[in-house]
Amino acid sequence: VGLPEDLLEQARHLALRDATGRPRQDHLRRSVSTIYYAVFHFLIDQACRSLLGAARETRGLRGILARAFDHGSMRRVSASFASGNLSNRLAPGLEGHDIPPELRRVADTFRYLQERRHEADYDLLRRFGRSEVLLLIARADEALHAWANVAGSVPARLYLLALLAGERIRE
Amino acid sequence: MPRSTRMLSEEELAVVLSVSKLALPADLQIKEIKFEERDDSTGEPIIEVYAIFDDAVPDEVMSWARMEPVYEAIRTALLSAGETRYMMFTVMHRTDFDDRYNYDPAFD
Repeated sequence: VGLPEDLLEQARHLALRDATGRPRQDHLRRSVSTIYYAVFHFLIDQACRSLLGAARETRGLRGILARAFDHGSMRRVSASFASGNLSNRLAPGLEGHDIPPELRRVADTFRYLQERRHEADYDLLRRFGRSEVLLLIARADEALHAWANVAGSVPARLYLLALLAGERIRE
Repeated sequence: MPRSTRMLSEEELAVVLSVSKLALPADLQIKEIKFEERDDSTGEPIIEVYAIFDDAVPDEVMSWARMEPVYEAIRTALLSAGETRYMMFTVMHRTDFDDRYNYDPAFD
């Protein structure tokens, strides 16, 4: 079990506290934020392994590269993969492949969760319900499992590359 | 190169996103489809589409695995109509939907 799975377990723990009565908003808000970071760290880890290899001796390099990712760039790239509307810079990288539905789902889940995370951390009018948060956990969990069906494919490798560098590639 | 965007009017969205138009399976128990046009946290215009369930419906019925066809139907309908804003698809119980902007950190 790695960090993303541990974070989802922690998110579940927070959402299921206060089993009787109304759940506390601070618990639900921290849960939503943690769900986002589970997927965030999962994708960064996958990208670093894709770019540098998964061998033990690349651990240090992967740790350094992991700090180069940017939330905003990842959001915009994920939105483009979720919609299937890639920029002219990225589209040739598909090499004629379609973006599989599982990859669109992962990209959409990331884009979606980032918005929910922003609300959970900054929007003091937003109230979260326990069942809403549990559904977010399930959605993130399903996205992580969906990844296994596309890992290593050309579109998935392009997505991982684009998460880091998609907006820096010149036409 | 920036993507071109087209935004359907509220009236057009209401037609595209009507339950009868989307032809959603009846056994999904969706009570209502609602939408909200707004800017996201970065100022980008988006549409949030809500599939709303009665409070008594268990979470399992609302699982992403069961909701994915609904998400795809809505996404396809919006794209076919020419809508290019990002669509957030949210599944909620009625009470969670009604209370979603009802938090008061001083008294809650």
